[in-house]
Amino acid sequence: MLQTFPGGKHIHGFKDFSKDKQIVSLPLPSQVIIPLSQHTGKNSQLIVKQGDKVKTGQKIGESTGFISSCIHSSISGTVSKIAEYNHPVIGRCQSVVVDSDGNDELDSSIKSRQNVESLSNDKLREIVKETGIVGLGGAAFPTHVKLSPPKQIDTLIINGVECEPYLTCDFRLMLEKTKDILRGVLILKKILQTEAVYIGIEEDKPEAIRAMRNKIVQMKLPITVVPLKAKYPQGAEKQLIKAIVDREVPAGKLPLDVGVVVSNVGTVLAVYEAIYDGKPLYERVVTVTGKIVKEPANLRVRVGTKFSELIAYCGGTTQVPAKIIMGGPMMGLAQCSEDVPVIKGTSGILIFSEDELEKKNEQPCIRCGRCIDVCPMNMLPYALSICGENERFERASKYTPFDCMECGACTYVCPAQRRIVEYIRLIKAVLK
Amino acid sequence: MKAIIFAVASLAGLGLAFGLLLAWASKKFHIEEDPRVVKIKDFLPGANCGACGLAGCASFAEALVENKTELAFCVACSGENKQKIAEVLGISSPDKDTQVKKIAVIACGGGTRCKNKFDYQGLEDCRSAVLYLGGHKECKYACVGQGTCIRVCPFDAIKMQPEGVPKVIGHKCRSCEKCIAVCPRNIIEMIQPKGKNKVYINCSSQDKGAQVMKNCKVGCIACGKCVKACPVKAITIENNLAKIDYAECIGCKKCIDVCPTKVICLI
Repeated sequence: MLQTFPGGKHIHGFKDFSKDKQIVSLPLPSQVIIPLSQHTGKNSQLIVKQGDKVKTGQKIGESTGFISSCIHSSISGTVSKIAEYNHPVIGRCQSVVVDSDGNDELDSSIKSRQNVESLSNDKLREIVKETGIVGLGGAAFPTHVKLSPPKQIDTLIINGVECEPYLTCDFRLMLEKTKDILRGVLILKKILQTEAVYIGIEEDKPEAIRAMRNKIVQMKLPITVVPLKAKYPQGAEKQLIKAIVDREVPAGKLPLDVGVVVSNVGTVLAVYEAIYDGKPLYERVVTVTGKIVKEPANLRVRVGTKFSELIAYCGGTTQVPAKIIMGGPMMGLAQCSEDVPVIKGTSGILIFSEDELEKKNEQPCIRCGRCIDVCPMNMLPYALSICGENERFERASKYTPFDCMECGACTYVCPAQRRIVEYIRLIKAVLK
Repeated sequence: MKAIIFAVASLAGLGLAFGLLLAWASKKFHIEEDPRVVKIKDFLPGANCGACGLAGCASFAEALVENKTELAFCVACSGENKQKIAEVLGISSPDKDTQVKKIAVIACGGGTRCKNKFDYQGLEDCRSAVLYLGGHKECKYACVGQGTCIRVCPFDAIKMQPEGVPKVIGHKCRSCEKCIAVCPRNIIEMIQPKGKNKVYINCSSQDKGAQVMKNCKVGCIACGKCVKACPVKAITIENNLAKIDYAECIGCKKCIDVCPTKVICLI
């Protein structure tokens, strides 16, 4: 019996579109738009001005608080404008527009390091902070904060689950960059001084499990690969901890309160590249996929590249797109334009045609309880949806709405097609 | 026949017995209610809006009689009725301030005249609408038009206009400020105009003029024509937005005539 968490629901993966496509680098864009808010926490503070020459990897935004992160230019060229621009998450955001000079000249501060073993833990944390690394799973939480826990951590979990349907970027990284990821894991292990290290991978990715296991045996590392049941949302932090070490993170607490740090494989790779190559986080792997995309692909993309360029590189679409989503179909955000930049948290671009979209015909709740069965947080989604519908917000606060991570499993199974997550979001917005 | 008579007679008997019992009980367990509470309740608006901080008009009336609250806390009651309540209580009528009524205004006339960024398909609630990419209007100050304020108004004083933005009907507004509490854009404000012609600035955009023109046909572009036209210097421009000082405004409507984008409206 495979390890997993209570609740959840198996969802068809739709990963075949892009799972066998090797990661390729997108040609250098002629212009990038780099928003100053790409992470959880405070916005970065601008340190360049219009007309400045910048190089690839040069810092252009300084971190402004404990929970904040640095931002770097992703191409070399000239800062042509600093203005409000479309942002895939918050709608509009102050952004730096850099016009490329085509040379892609690296900043002088980027040098590979030979003596990594001798670096102190504080120095390693400093490098992670300076290179602007944030969690690449989607929430973009600054990694240096995770690596500075206020108390001793005993377990490090690497998240290679990728439970969102369609997305394959983490899967491809695990196949193609196995060794680098494992070396990155060792760095995190050293910084956190943990005993146990696990890599969680869903059973429907046997190639990744095999690749990881073979490499671990070859390199003789004290790391365990844990195959997990393919079930949504297995990749959510708290569910992953429950499945692997059987600990429950209390409501409103963080994984480190139960002595665990969880990090995504993409993030681990970024840490490896930052420490060994000195490379700041200015590019990431993005899956461009969907039934109507001509050639779905896993692309290595510079932060700030417009969605339209990625879609054009994939040959465009066979039909008129009806919905463009940043991220996966369950938790992703629908976009209103292709003229939106890729940010650090962009794991995928998913395109749907009109006939793939389901018309929702919302009906009253019939109390069938399917949402309760699938809720990974053991909540009562139906009750919240009814409270939200009738604007009984005070009553809704009894049903712990803030535990909800908006995974959407309840909405997915609801036979009455109720927009449960939307109601919960409304309740959270009102009670905040 | 016998059965019918028996049935009718027994039911009538039961009715009589219970009637007498109830009549006796109402006498026996009668609770003396202060007649003033009954009178005051008649003068209160009866919408139970809760603006006074109590559960409803009945408990406000009781609290008034017990001297636990003040008449001024009721914002929904008209001046005339307040006078009558004051007479019942034997106190002087509340201060002059509340004589000039405060009216809520929704400072956005955009609706269909303000461009959409995308087609919003979520819940019909403004507080939901602003969660997605900061709202579906190009203007970040614009009303998102889902009508949450209309639904919370206990006095039915807010109506949706054909343009897709709600408007407060001045004489129905009782200043309870419930709409202000729910508006996620914070574009509803209380104004206190003195004159007969109540003018207000129907825009909240603090964007620069060119940006406003791009987004919306009826936005304030901060041209300053109203400032010049105002004979009592009641209008100023702050953060690219005209602002009326209601202590000065005389309601001459000259600003309405000169406004090029028709942002200044009458209530």
